[in-house]
Amino acid sequence: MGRILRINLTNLKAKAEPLAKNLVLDFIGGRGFGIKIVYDEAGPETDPLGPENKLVIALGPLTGTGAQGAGRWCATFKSPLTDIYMRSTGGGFFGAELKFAGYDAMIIEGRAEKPVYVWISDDEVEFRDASHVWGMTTRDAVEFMRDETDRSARAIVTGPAGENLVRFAAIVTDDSRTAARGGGGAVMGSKNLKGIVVKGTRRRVPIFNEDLFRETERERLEKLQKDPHLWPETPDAFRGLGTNSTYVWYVMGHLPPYNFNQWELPCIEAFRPENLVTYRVGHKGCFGCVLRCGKVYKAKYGEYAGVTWEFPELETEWALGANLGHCNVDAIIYANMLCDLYGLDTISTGVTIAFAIDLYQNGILTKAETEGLELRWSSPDTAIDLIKRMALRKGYLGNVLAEGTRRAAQIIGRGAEHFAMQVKGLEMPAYDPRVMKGQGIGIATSTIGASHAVTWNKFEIVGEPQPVDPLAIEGKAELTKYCQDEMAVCETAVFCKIFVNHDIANPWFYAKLLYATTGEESFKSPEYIWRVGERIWNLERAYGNMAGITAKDDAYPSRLLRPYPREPYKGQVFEQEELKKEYYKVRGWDERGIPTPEKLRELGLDYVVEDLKKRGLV
Amino acid sequence: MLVNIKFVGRTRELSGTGELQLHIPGAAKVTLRDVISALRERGVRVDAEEPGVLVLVNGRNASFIKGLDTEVDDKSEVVIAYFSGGG
Repeated sequence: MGRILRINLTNLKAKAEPLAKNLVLDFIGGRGFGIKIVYDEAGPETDPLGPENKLVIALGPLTGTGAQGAGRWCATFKSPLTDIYMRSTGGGFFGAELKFAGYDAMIIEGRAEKPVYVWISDDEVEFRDASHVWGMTTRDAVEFMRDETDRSARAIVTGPAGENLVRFAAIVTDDSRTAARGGGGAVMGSKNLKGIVVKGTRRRVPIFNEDLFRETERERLEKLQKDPHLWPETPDAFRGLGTNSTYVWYVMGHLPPYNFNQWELPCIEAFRPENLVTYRVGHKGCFGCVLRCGKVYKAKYGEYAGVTWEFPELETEWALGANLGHCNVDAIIYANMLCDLYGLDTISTGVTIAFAIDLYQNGILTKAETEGLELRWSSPDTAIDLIKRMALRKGYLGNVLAEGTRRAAQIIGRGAEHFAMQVKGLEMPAYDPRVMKGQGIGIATSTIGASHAVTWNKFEIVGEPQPVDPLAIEGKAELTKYCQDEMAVCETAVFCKIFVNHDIANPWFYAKLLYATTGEESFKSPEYIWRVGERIWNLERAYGNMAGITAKDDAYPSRLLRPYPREPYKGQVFEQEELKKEYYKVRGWDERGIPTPEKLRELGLDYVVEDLKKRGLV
Repeated sequence: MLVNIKFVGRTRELSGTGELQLHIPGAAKVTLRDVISALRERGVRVDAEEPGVLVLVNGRNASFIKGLDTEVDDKSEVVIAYFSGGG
């Protein structure tokens, strides 16, 4: 059995606690541990920026084993952006290093009196003064902390944005990977925690059945090597250019330009893979992954020429480019770098900037409120200026936008909420629900707000495990549940979603690997694994319900409920109510979108029924 | 009739161009099968049914319209690409 490291920042004490067997059996690891611990210890009434909030960093049974694509770590907490539970995953090498130090999870609680960072070297845990690195950008802070501890250590940090409690501040690793969504960086900032540095020496994770493990990995690798989307090194596949299917995504009706106004984007050719690949100067990967889908880009033209940084993913090319009405790849590389250095979620950052531009262009935000700044579409400089203002909460505009679109709209008033492209307070990703109905209902009902990642509809998007028409609505509720439960359980590993999206990780492979690694008989059954996914999803949802979420929150902003405006999908609508009704039925939830007592008991969540009762929800 | 075709990524290498206008003599409407066959005659060896290949007719995945029987006219835009999905 493993251990959980409990880090109390109020009294600067750390304690390793044994991992409870029932926690492992019911929730496996990663995202499962995350929701269970947050549910038990930082309930729905918790102040997200108060010392009572918990930040859980959890790994899975496969972390550190070298299982392909299982190198990620999962951060969970009550979100200061959405006021409900949040799960945000990060890559790189931090997760494996924490495992090698002998831990399966960390629970970070309390609030330090002064800025600190935590140095973990196997069983030794030290709290160190962080006053000299407070205010530093992420990469510099990592350099200082490594100099003071161990140059080969791995780290997670928060940047100036997190310290300034920007509600969409990211947690950033030493190699600029992020657990970006939902404001984990702000939770760190609220706790006066600059970072966690870790070095482990137990570098071999025991495996119960090596033969089965190797055989399953061989099978997965063979499938991976046959996958035309992942394996080729051409610019249109993951080994070549990672997630950058930006151009085709636009042609397919997504990559919604101009804050989801969906006006034509004349510059779109700049996002062709053949062009993007000319910026690529290197490859980067995560622990235990042969894909190395992270690419290093060097800006070539204009005032940003020479800037070299890990590339913007598709979402970032959209959020900081197409969504703002431009395709200036050089400026996007620079804006992406700024977000990583300040510690900002690029999706929420870009959507919030688009929101501000849209408000200004519609006369809702005045020049007095923008402090003289002209907010224009197709102006990369506007974005770069606003990134700095938000990260540093500079002036009225920076300060208001740092609250995220939902809160900013409430502060601004005057109908601003119609321009805030968010669901449950989380800013939208680059998907248009009107032209992909399963993905649409998935994002609307997501337990964490508008996340594409927790509900990626591989049937519709890449035709895995079988192709399904994105425009059809029949059967989409079932497929949505399938994708949500599958991702939930695969993130207990913690598998990368790219592997799940392409069916290289799924409950069947996972069952074999889990049994091979742990020897736990229950894990042999794929049905058992699926059930854990459903249990996680329902517990996440119940937490949201207790925090005030009902059917009214499973809804898009008004702009997305109007007919789709551009060809070739002109006139398509998102059948929100019809899909929602069917989804609740498939889920075993009532018409308010609350899991029924029967469903919760079926999943072994009897205690949740009692908690819902206490709040008058059942 | 003239059909506008865009090639993206690997298929661009096969065609040697990012975009071309393909002249197909005869009817005002043809099928995607005719387009692929005309491309082959020009030496562009695109296999629209190869796993991973995505053929979009006016932004819609042809396999959800009528596959290779999908109709194409001179207002249509055909995109032939591999699509790996975003992140």
